[in-house]
Formats: sequence, C-alpha cells, structure tokens
Amino acid sequence: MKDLLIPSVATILATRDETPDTRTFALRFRDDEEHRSFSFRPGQFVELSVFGAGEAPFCLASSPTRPEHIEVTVRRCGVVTNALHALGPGDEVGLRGPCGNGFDVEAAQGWDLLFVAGGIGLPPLRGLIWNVLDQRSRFGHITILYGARTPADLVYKDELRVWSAMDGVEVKVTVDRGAPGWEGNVGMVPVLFDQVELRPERTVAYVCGPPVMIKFVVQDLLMRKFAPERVISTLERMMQCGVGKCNHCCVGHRYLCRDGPVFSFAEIREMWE
Amino acid sequence: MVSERVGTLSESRGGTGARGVCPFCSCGCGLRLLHDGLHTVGSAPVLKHPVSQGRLCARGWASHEPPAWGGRLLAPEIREGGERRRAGWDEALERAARELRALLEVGKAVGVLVSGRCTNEEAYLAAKLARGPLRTGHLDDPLGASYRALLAGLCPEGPPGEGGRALEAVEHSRQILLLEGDLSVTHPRAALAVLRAVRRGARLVTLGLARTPLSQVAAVHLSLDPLRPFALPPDLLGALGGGNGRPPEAPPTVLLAPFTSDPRIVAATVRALAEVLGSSGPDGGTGARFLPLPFRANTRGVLEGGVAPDRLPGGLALDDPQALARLRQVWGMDPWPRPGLDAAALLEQVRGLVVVGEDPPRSLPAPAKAREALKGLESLVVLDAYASATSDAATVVLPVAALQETEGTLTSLEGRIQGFGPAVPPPGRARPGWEVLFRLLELLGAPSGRAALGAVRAEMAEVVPGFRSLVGSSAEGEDMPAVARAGRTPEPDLRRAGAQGGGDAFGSHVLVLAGAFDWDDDLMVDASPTLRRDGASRRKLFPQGSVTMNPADARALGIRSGWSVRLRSRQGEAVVPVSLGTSVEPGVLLVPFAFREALSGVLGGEAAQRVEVERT
Amino acid sequence: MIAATRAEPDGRWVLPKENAGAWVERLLEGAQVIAPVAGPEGEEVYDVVRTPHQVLWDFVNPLDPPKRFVLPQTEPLARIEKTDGRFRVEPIHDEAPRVFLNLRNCDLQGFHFLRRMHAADLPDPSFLRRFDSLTLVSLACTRPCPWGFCICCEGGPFLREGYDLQLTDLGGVFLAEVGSAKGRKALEAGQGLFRPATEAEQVRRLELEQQALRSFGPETCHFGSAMRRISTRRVADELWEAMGPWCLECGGCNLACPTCYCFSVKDRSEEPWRGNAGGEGSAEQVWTRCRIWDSCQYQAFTLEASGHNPREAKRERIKRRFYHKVSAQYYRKDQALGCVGCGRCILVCMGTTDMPSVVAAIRKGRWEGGRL
Repeated sequence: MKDLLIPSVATILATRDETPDTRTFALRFRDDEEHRSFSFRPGQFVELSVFGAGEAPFCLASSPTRPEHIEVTVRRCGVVTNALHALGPGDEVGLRGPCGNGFDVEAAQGWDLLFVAGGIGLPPLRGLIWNVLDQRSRFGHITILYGARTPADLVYKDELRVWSAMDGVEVKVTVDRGAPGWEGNVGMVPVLFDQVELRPERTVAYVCGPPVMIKFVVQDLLMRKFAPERVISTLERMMQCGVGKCNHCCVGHRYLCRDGPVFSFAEIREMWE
Repeated sequence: MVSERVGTLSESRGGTGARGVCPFCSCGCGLRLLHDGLHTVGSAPVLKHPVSQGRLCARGWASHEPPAWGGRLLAPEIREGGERRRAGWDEALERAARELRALLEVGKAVGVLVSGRCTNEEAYLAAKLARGPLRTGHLDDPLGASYRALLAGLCPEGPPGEGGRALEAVEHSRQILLLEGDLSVTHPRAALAVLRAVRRGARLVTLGLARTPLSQVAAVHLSLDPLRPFALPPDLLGALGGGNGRPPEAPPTVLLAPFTSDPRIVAATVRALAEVLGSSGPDGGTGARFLPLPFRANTRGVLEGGVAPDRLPGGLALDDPQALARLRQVWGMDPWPRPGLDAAALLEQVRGLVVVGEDPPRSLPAPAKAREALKGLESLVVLDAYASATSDAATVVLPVAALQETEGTLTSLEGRIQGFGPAVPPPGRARPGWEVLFRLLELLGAPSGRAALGAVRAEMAEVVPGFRSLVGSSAEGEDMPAVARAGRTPEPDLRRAGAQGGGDAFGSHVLVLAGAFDWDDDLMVDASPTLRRDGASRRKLFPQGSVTMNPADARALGIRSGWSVRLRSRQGEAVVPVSLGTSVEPGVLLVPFAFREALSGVLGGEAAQRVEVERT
Repeated sequence: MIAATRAEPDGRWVLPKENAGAWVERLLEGAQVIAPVAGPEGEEVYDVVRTPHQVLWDFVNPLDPPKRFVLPQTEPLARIEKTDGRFRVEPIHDEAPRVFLNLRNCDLQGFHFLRRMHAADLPDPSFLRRFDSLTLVSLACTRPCPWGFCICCEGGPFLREGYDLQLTDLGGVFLAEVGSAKGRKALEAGQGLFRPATEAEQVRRLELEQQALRSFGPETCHFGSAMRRISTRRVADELWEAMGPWCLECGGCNLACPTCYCFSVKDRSEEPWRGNAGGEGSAEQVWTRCRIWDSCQYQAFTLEASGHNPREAKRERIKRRFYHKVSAQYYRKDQALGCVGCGRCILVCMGTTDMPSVVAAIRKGRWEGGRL
C-alpha cells in the first residue's frame, strides 16, 4: 500500500505568468506509469511539495480530459508558493493526490451551467470549464462570469477569449477598478448578472473566489431564485495533510480535504462548529 | 528545595531523555528532552519538577525544536577581504584574539554583549573576558537594562537573594498587584501562579498599558498613563485593599514585568509603586513583596554572573574593595573597575565587539541602529548556535552548542539555579560555549586553570555568591525582597522620558510601544516550526507594521480593521494599517514590540509619543 | 459486566513475580521492550528498556503519554535527497517488533482510538505497520490513580478486550489474560515461566476489579449532558468566552492526550548532521520530511496563507477541542468519546481548562474558574 503522506517526484514542464504574482505550472510525474494512472475530477486538488520548503495544497486547474500534463495556478503568498515561483521548467517538485471530492460533472449533465469566479477563484473552475467544453453536447448553455480587482489581476486572459469565441458559451468579465486601456465592465461580479439571461430553474451555478465574494454572489443568486442545492462552491481552510488526518481543515466534524472542498450551498448552510 | 546540587548536574541522562530546563522564559520549568542520538525530537513534562510540576507552555513543549530545525552555525568562519570562509578552530580563535588585541593596543574601545540564553558559566566567562583581558566595562545583556530597571527601584545591589519559592508564594497570596505587558505570554508559569491565587480567592489588580487575559480575571484593572506611567492611578491602594478605600490587610505580592522599552520609565514606575505601597516594617506600610520578572531563561543569571556595565560578578558593586580583591586573587589579574556603557549605547561607541548568543537587532528597541552599528565594527566576534543578522556581519564566527547540547546551569526568576546536561552532541564542529570562551580567555592572556566545567564552577563559587551557596550547604533565603531592603534608589533621569506629556496639547492620541521584548522576535522561537507561525504570519500580514486601536477610536475616525492611518508626531510621520482590539484604551495606539521599527520615526526614540491620527 | 469474563480454557495464566525478570529477558531477545522505568527526576516515564530490572511493576501512570511510541512528536516520514537537481524520496518505515509492557488500560484505549483513526477512510499504512508490530501488554489498575476518571469513559481500570495480554497484580503473581494471538506469542515466549491460573486466582482477579471500581477518588467527569449540549449547539458562546483567560494556550491538553493526533508536516534540513549520521551518499542536500505534533489550541493552527484565521479567538479554539472530544457527531465518527479518562490534562494544563473542569462547567452552564 502506498504511503499516505509521501509525495512522488514530478517535473515542471512549463510555466506561464498569469498576473504579476500568479503563475501557472504544467507538471508531469517523473514516472510515466504514475502519470498515466493519475486520474482526477475537476475541483480536486494536489499536495505540491517544494522540497525543503514544504508542502501545500493547490487545486487542479487543468481538465482530466487533457491528461498530458497537470496544471496548477499559484499566487505567491507564502513560504511554499514563494519557493515554487523560484522554480522553472526542468525543476522537480513533489506531488501527492488527487485529494478532495471534486465537482460532480455527471450530475450536471443536461443542465445549463453558470460559472462565477473572482480573482484567483477561476483556476479551480477552469478545469471544470474545459472538462464540460470537451464534452460540450452533454450540457446546456454555458455562461462564464469573471471578476478581478484590476485588469492586471485577470488570469487566463487568452483562454477567456477562446471561450467567448465558442458557440453557446457566453463570457463576461469585469474589474473592480479600471485602468488605462480598459474598456470593459467596471464593478463587482454581480453587476454582470444583469447583462446575461439567468435561468435559475435549469441552471447549476458554480461560484469560486475569495470568501467575501462567494458570500455576496451566493446571496444574490439565492435572491434570484437559484436552488441552494444547485449553487456549488468551494470552501477554504488551512489544509495540511489533504487526507483527512491532520485536523487543520475541520469545520465541525467535516474535513474540507475529504468531504470537500466542493459543497453545495445547501450543505454549507448546515455546517457549523 | 532551594537549588540543585552542582555535584549531580552532569548525571542527567535518563534513557532516551535528558534532563532539561526550558530555554525560553525565566520561569525555570523543567522538562525531559527526548532525542534520537542526533536530533532533539521531543519535549516531555516532568511531574515532579518543583517549578513546572508537570506543566509546560507552548514554548516548553517545542523546546526541542530550535536546535534541530534552526539555521545552525556549523564551522568556525573568518572574514577575509569582505568574504567569509571556513576556518579551523585554532585559526579562528587566534584570529579573534588578534583582532581584539589589535584594537586594544591602539586604544580603541571594545565591548561584550551576552544573551540571557547563555548559561551561567558562559556568562561568567564572558564577564571575565570583558573585565579581565579586554579591560572594559562595556559589557551588557541587551535585555539586561529593562531587568535592572525593575531591580533599581527595589534592590539596587542586585536581584533578590536565594529564594526558589517565589511562585509558590504568589499562589498563596491574598492580594496581588501585577504590573505587566502580558504575563500570560511573557511568563506563562507565573501567570498560572496568579490564576491559581485568583481561583483561591485572591484579589488581583492589574496595572498596564493594555487589557490582557489576566486583566480579565482581575478584580480591578488600572490603566497606566502611557506618557507618565510612573504617575500611578490614585486609587491603587484602595483597589488592592478591596475597593473600600482601606489599604490591603495582608502584605500584597507585586509581580513586575518590564511593560515598556524605556528602562528609565520602568525604573520610575517601580519606584513609584514602592512608594505607594509604603516601606514595610515598623513604620507601617503594606509590607509588599516584590517579584521582578526577567525575560529570558537566564537574564537573571547573566546579571549575577557579572554581565552589566556597572556590576562585578556576583552582582557586586564596582567599588566593592573586597570583591575586587577576591577577583584579583582568583583571576590572577586586575579586574577592570570602571563602569561602561549599556548595550544600546556601547554598540554606538565600540570598534570591536564580542557577542555571545545574541542578535542585538532582535532584542534592542532600535533594530536599524543596531544593524548599522554591527556593520561598522572593525572586529565582530560572534559565538552563537544560530545564524542571525549578527553572525552574518561577523568578522569571526565561532559556532557553539545550543542550550540543549551543552552542560550548564540557568538561574530562574526565583533565583533557582538549575543544571542540565547535553541531550545530543552539537552539530558540525560546534563546541560548548564555555569551552570556546575559556580558550579565548587563554589566548588573550588570562591566567587559566583547568579547562573543565567543574573548574569554572569552582572559580565561580569563589566570586559569585549564588554559586557559593550552590556548592556549599543549602542556604534558604527570603522568597522575595521586601521594600525595606530596597535601600537607596538612584533617581532615574526622566528629562527625556515622558517629556512630551504634561500639559502639552499636541496630538489626539498617544502612540505607545508595547513591552520591552517580543517572543515572536526571538531567534529560538523563529527556529521552531511550531512556534514561528504566529510571528511569521503577523510579519506577512503587516510587512509595514501595524498598530492596535480601540474600536471606539476607529468608529470616530470612520475606519475599519485593516485600513491605514497616518500618524504624525513632532518627530515624524508614518502610514500604517490598524488592527482593532478592546485590549487598548481609547485614545491609545499600541505598537507591538516586533513592529517598533516601522514606527521608529514617529516614536523618535521614545516609548510613547503624542500623535495626530488621520484616515488616509 | 461479569458475564463477559468467561474464561477461555487457555485464557488465564499466572506469572510468579520471581519469574517476571526472566520473562522480560526472553521478550528482549525478540523485540524492543518499552515499559515504565524511573526517569531523570525519579518519576515514572515510558522508555525503551535494556535490562529487565529497569521495568517498573508498581507505578503511577507516567504523565508523558505512551502515544509517543506509536505517534512520535517528531516522526521522520521520508528522506529527501537532492543530487544534480534531481530528487529521491525514500520513505522511512518503522516496523520493528516491539512489546509494550505494563501499559495502563486508559492508554491502551487511547492506542486503539489512534489505530481506528489511522485505519479509517484513507488508511495510513505507515502508522498501521508500526502499530501492528506492537504487542500490547497492559497492567490493570488495581488501585485507581488519584486523577483518573476512566470509569466515566470506558477506559478502565480493567478491560475485557483490546489488549494482547492483560496482567493483574494478585500479590505474589501476575494473572495474565490472553486477548489475541500476539498475546499468546508473548506468553509462549515465557514458556516454563507461566503456569495455568487456579480457580481462586481467577476469582481474586474479579474481586480486585470490583475493589478498584469502588475505590475511585472524587475525580469524575459526567459526559452525558455535556455531550447533549455540545452536539446540539446549546453551549452559550459566553461560557467559552469566560474560559478564555483561564487557558494559557500551552497545547498541553492536546499534546499529552492519548487520543489527540493533530499534526503538521515539515522538512528538516539534515545539513547540520551530515557526516554524523553515517552512510551519507553524494547528495548535495538532504532533508527529512517529518510529521510533528500540533495543537488545535494554537492560534496559527487554522491560519490560512491569506492571513484569514477562522479560529483566531481563544473561545473558538476551546470550543473546537471539546466539540472534537465530546460531541455526538464525533462520537459517531470516531466510535468513541475522545477521552479515556487518564486525567493527564488535569496535570498538564497551564491554566484550569482541563476536561473534567470544562465538562462540569458545561453541565452547570457556568464557568467558575475551573480547578481549584
């Protein structure tokens, strides 16, 4: 049996700067067999080690339908992320996972999908977005609403363009504060709700972003008659082991790293400690 | 039990655990250090230890971590043409001796700084190094000034004598006056003694610049005026007596911690307290018993070992002819009898410096100044187990064993001298600190005896009274000094301290520096993966520092937690984020000691300043 | 209760005390033996024994918990080597055969709590390998310890199951009850040293148990109503708030608790010890990935990288501890109360917020400062 807490070695294949402090890393397990057998759902995460600096959880930003490499998008904000940003193609890291429950893509089959992301909340949804786009016919209308603080903080700018060019996909972007050259929307994400046609009765909404953003977006959606069980979000806590043992990420008796991080708002409502 | 016997000190191995004394604060808790032969891997409580009685605070439980996880100095190094390179022990020691001797020969000042995380034996040898071959009084512990300030108002001749039962006495006190920064953080075991007393029905009065956990269980909390803390609240005695205007019936116990960074203010406050509580004895008064609380594990022992600009080993006066004669006889050379500068001042003056187990920028109130001073030295000889800004600036690095890897004694706040042995050998080529100091003394021409710790202790027994009783028969002393013994108290110079106070109308608020030390700034705390998190996150959240403000003040200014304010004093200005807390009084802005640097321009070298506050 | 003590034909043996040393000698031939020994301050501690005479057979349960030997405070998980920019991760396994001798039953229950938790959901093979290489020989408490309240939480003083071997001190002999094949093996190691128990000895064992149950001290802990209140959110926030100043955040309640297992994972640089460790290869850099004890009572335990901390307030952390220990939700998840009644938290608490004090406060709905 494989050790629970021991990572395997993976190689950084490529990196791409998303914003001044956010970078996407394409990774591949050093062992081909291990890479091939790595299967995951969008919304799951990996424990990534920068050896010597430590280990931290990162959501998988790529889609299982594109298995040649695994992507994570990382904002620089701590010891491990700083050390990771110092690495480049060819460097090795540790990988362990996948961890967590992930999004239930099957259950969303046949529904319209609404993605609402804020700032660094787009990466967890990106894997899901590509996943449904790669099986486009199984889903209804797709709407992607994305907001960031400033134009410079928008991640995946190229992909936003690619998505918006696709049939049956609507993409709207806004920033809290504009900047010279920015001609798009200005305002918090909910301003975009009035620019698209929302069909609460036939839509599953996925909301991802900073806790405050999630809070007001979910409130807004509920007011617009979205069913709590079809408003899906991810919760954030300090995570360490990723396998439900270390107790850092508990909310009540639930472990976000095992029972989550993906929950419907109906479930979140029932959580307390 | 007064103290451990020196004779049994080295018999400390017990299977896979070695007897240890907590290396952090001065409470003197005992623990068992577990090891795997190479690393220290665990800390276990000891039920039968007279002080800790089975308890350990978070730091105690992690006391095995710093040596195993910290950035260690592993080999002697010397600086050559701006570059540092590894060297052999002989080469490095000779280099250190040569550098220091060269400065002495041309009459340039040298000094010695010693940390309260050194053993008594190391402190004594460092003091001997200064007052012996280096012929200087520039000798201090960077946290020593604030401890001496506590003593100055009470017992100018030195810390209270043998005791060892002071905490037990606190637990059985009926009235307790606590002057604190935050005792539950600085001295958890002492805080437990206070909690136990309160639980037993004692009346607790807390006195400080901010509300603390202990102030929440106090009968009365009295706020000090940040600008004039020595002007005590008028209702102090009444509060202690039960709020009915009568003075306390039983002699109160007074716990004193350095609550602010300016030693003069601390000294004046303690003096004012001593006056209010009255001199005990026949002419009335309260008979108050005082317990000064040094910060580090061995702040007290380091002072008693002779590390102070104005003391001899044993804490004796510089003009004590008997002490001088005894030192002359024991050392085989004349002890330097003149006073020197304290840690902050000597850094500015000396050209050569020996630093033993200390990183002055972390412990002095003005970190930037300390860093600059270190960089400008012609010779900087650093003995330490851990790498620091100071060892980075060194001309000679001498790696020594961490406390957990050496044999020695520590003197607790109660005056309890406790021995411990090495749990593991030091890593790399590090050597025990006492041994390195011994060799340095030899190289600088001090007549030396046998290179053995036992010989060092025997020597100490002749000149350090505390050690004499340790080797001799058990000497049961008073628990705490009474005010009656305070004797003549030097008048603190308060011309600068609180000069901005009084009728000065400038400023809407008062900016105050909290405490005189912050464990989050401690090198050993920083070396522990478990303990370093709080400080690291605070530094990350507030890279530009922050101040704590009462929510009422924030409402009045129309600001929220995390927002920035512009602070303007007559000295300077700064823009900093605020965090809100009811722990501070309205009208006061508290600067965590760890953030002193960010506000140094506004504070202008003072512990408190009037400021104008504006939202940005 | 008595009904469950039905003796299997080969289940009861006695070890005359004069043979105890010889038995330990035999055990030492095949395994590491961990037992209570006299520590540096003259108090009892658990440690690896080298000679039989070190083993204590009459002792107060050591304050420092034996869980260290299954869940070390610093546990090396893997050796990480860097050579020419490439990494090698070598798991460190520990499955040395060990006999844990004279474990108290509260701690035995704690051991099983830890095993259940490590076997549940995603099993941790590293822990299970180490644990399952252990033979657990408990020594029943014929005299309850002054601070124990194991009778309040099925932690002892005598057990019906869970041990490999349970010893009872009958005076001149130890009665040995076999609980598993591993226990039988440990017994067989002492072939010729044990003899079958007589009827009278078996009766004596039951008498001693009854006597022990009757001689518990005043320390009790009534979990029932506390569990109801905690599980249904009927403990007022003010109560947790009131406890705040009486907890000095030492984490001792967690670290000394037989059922606590919170941890963090960190990489320790082996640079300082290279050359000392022996067998060093040509690696440029070496680290040991370690699992280290952590405590939910430490403020930074739930601190997120963003700086947000859901349990910044002390009351939230105290509440968390008792929710994990005493709630019905966790009772269902862990299949047991998170307390075995060993009383260690009473002894190690730097303040006064130990288990019985807090449980009593929840029952009464009032905090009066905890233990006197």
